[in-house]
Amino acid sequence: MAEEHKIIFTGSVGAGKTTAIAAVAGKNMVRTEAVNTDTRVAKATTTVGFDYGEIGLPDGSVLRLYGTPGQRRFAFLWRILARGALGLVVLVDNSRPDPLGDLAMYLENFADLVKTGAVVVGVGRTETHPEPSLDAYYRFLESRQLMLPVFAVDVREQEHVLMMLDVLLNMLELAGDEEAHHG
Amino acid sequence: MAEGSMRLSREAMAQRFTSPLQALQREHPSVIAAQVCTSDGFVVSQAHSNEEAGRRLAAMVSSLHAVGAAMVEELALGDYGHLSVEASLGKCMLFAVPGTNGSLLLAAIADDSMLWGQFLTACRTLSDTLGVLATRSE
Repeated sequence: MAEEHKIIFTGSVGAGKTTAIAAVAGKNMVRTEAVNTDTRVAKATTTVGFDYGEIGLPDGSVLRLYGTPGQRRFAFLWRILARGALGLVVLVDNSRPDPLGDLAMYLENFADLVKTGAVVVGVGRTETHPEPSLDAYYRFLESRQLMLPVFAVDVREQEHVLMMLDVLLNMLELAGDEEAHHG
Repeated sequence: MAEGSMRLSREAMAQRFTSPLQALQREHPSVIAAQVCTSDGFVVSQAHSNEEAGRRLAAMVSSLHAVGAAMVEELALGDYGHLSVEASLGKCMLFAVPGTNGSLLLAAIADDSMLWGQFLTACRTLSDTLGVLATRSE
């Protein structure tokens, strides 16, 4: 039977959450961007509500993709958007001062989803900012008892975003199989 | 932002807006709070003293406005006007300040003794006033 999966894209400002959803959902996505007046952030617009896009899968299932605002002042929306979600994509911008700290902040704020759902981490701008390395991310996650896949991605590339979603769906499928096996 | 309001700093806008925001509260004691914020969720001016509550309100107003505007666009309902929220203990009104291309938002909160029509009229009048002040060149 065709299913619907709610997937959340979160991560730091400028990490490419809106771009990632646009890369796979195309022109039909819903955006809620406002003119950015925060001079600490070098971008013209910023998401203040949520982004929304859909992808239809060959088996008739639908992925409903929600992008969150990145700034902590919108944390109230993170909690709302996380309700009913099965998967989480955390996008980290490696050019920011403390990308591992950024990752920790989002994992903490989406702790319930991290505990119950599938999570993948996408690290952007690694060509220009190779540190922290992917190994450093794995070590960091391991120190928090988390075994999550980490990818170097360019979210403008549709294949990169689809790869993260593919892994996420496989993780959900595996979790479902294990639940059925033990249940 | 509109040309006039773009020339103004946030501080200059705050100075212009404080008086009309306070006037709303003075004329309508049922109004608990009134605020002008940017569409990306920063306080420009507010007629209540709780700064932390003001910051939280600005972020929520920004999100609600953006979601409302996205819904209006999806449903092809024309130009976004205002958003109202009714609760058991009060009501909220969110307006895009005219003439600012939606870059400035007015939010007002009233207790349950305020009548909807009265609240709507007062907020619309204030929003128009703020629009004039935001786009005035001097």
